[in-house]
Amino acid sequence: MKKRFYFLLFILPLLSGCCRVSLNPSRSYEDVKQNVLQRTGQEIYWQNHDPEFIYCLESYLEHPLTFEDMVQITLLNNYKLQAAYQLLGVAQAQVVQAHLLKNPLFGLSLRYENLVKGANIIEMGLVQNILDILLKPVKIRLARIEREQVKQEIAGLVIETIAEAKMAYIHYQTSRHILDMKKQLLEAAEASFDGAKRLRQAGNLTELFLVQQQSLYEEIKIDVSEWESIVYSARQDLNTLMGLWGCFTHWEAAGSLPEVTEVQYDLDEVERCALENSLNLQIKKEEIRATAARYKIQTAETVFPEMFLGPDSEKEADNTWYVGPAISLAIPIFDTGKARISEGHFEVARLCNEYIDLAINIRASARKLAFNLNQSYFQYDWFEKALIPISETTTTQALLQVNAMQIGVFELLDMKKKEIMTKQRAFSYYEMFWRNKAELERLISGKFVES
Amino acid sequence: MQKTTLMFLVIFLMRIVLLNAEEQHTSPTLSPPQPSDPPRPWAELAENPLPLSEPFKDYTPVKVPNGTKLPYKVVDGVKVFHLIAEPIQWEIAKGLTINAWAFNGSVPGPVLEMAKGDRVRIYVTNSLPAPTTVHWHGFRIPCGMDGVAGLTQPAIPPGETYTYEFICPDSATYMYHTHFDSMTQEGMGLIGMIIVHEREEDLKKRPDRDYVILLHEMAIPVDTATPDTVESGGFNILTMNGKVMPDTEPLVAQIGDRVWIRFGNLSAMDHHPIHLHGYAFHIIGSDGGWLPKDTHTLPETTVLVPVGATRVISFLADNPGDWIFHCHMTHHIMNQMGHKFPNMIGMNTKGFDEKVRKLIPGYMTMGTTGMRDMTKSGMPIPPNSIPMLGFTGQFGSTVLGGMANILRVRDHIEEDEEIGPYHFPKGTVAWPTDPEEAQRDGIDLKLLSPTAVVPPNQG
Repeated sequence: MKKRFYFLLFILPLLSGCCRVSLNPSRSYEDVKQNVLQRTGQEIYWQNHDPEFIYCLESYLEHPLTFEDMVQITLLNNYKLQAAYQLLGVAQAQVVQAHLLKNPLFGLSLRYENLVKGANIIEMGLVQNILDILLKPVKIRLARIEREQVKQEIAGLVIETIAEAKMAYIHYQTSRHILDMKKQLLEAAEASFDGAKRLRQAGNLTELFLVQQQSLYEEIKIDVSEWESIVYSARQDLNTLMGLWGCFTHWEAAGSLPEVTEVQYDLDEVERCALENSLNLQIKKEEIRATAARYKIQTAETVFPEMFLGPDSEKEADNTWYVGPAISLAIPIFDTGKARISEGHFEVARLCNEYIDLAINIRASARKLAFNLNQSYFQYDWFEKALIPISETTTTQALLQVNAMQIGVFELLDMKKKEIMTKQRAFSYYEMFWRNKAELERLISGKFVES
Repeated sequence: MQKTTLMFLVIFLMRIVLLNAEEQHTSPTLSPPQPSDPPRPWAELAENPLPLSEPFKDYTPVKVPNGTKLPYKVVDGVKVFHLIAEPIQWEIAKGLTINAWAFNGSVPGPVLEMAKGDRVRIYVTNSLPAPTTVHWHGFRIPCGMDGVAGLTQPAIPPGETYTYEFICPDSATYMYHTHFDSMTQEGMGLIGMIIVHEREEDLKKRPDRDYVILLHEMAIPVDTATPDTVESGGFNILTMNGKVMPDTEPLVAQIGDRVWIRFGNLSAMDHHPIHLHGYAFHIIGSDGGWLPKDTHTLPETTVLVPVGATRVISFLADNPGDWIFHCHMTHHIMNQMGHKFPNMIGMNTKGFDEKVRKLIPGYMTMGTTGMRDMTKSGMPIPPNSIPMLGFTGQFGSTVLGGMANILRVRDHIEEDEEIGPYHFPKGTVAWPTDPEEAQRDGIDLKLLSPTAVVPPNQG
């Protein structure tokens, strides 16, 4: 009877070490998917090299890629994201691991009076780490917290990647347009230089004027070369984001750019949304909880590094078996865990302060991004409404003055260059608008990135 | 009692006569001055006033191409004129209307015409936004009538009228102009001419045609409408009686006419050498008076009219045709010429225009062979401007505008007849050379002389 009791006392807890939690991370993936969809309206794809996704990718690449296409391909094929989704499996496995107890220890010792006959004394014992059993709920909670953290970090990564894709696409497109402007500037400078050469040949201009025109022309060649590099780099950045290489990199970007629509964000509202939706703050909260849990475990393991319990048996020389419980326990005399507790306390306090700092950063960032976005809309719009038309009118009026033989072709080409540079600046403001918009959307969707 | 009454009556009547006599001489500038040695220039005429002159009886009235003459009233033996200085819009030529300040609605103002000895009273009303005066350029009159603001009179405030009175002591070709902030106000158009004729009853001693032309210059950048009076060298509108060619009204003369042309120059900075084609003339007068009779003068074909001076030329119309007369400063016979336009002469333009048109559609290089391109380009130009506008004659563009006009001399002219272009007698117009004719005369019709520079390909 007593033996049955000890057996049950030992076996039952062990049974709790068996785990019925699945290793499949699909539920976590679904949670992440829903979270991203709710925050951004975009779907994610854990493709796992599924041929169907490759087919989908190829069909996108057959036609010139729009802004939306780029984002879709990135979500479909970005390998950093695909790598991140694997972390869901890792986290899930860690949750399963947390459910499992450490295996019991079996000890056996044999002592022989002489080696010819069998062992005279046999000692056997089977012990289990009881602390492991006691800490199991905490460990499970910790693993779950960490899994939640991973899910939120992945959601944040997706949001960040969407923003990066948007900014990279806009940067690539505006760079292409700016490169076109630079090439037009080169044409204008070349025309000026050519005109100066012809007039110099006719004996009408000084060498000084000629070299001044040549200098302007040669300088713009460097500009063009620089922007060719910028465009090429921007294209490579897009390839990286879209996970494309080899023959898949021969895509074309669509000719038209997304339109700038009027925005007027309320700063208070944006601040509120950014705080409410912040994944960074949630992750930080989880980190605080995880840290607290971790320190609980660490404190227990510091105070009681060993806590084993289990049956022990001994057979004496006279073949009598003696059975009984065995316990091995550290005695908290020197280390009562105070240092660990204090460390944990301050660590949690540090994280709490970081939380507050993060919240303040998010508030300020939200207001700053919303304000800048409002301003950049105004700035770009003003280029469209005023500065570009004025620059075009200036060129038109200059041509009338040329026709009236009041000014010459060099002043006319200078006006044209100014018109081109105004349009070029407009593209910079266009890019700034979309960059600000992408950053604000990223923040409101939940991902804060320190600038 | 009767004697007393009679005495009072005589005294009363004498008083009336004396009072009337005094009224005739109440204005100091119209009255005889105090005797002095030498006497004042107008002293003799003030002592012995002449009757007011009458046009046609005492002088042949002048003609003012593109201009008008100021009418006058006669009040108590005085010719009374009224000048009004006011801002106006003035058409320099079709296509260019400017903001100007003018006398009586025109630039220059109307010609005042009188004769030596005439007593004149001129009311000057100032409707300008600034004070002004009028100086009677060349007149030997009392200093207080000279019209120099601050020196000889206070300036006429805006909205007020001042009176000038004097006797014309001399005959000459004079001018009148503002003398307050002259740079601005003369530059804006407050100028005019005054003709004081010699009284001459013998028609044979008078000219048959007597023309008055006032020369002036303005700086009006293309696509602007107000003269830049601060400009001192970039004048681009040069006028005769306020107009530029092709809108200058031609002068006409019949063969046998004695023609006088009186030039005045109230340009800001430039003298003008006016050259008349087809004739040699004599300079007979200025704003100082007339050349003494029987004085021999050099025949000229060009008269230099300095700034602030007048010159009268005289010639017999004996050569029929359309004769241009113009300032011989070549920039002064171009309308609104741009001085910032680069020198394009000789430029090889092959392929150049196409390069520029890729960036600026509609561009066309002009000026590679001079200014003629502008006259036929038909390119759009700024509104209210007349750059390079030139006169087109019966043989084509003259590439000439600005300070120029035409003297049309015909064998016979009817009164008020509209005179059209000259009908050149057959065989009297330079013609394209017949190679056979040239060969007959031993002329080799090579296009270039041995020392010529081959012009670059013009594309």
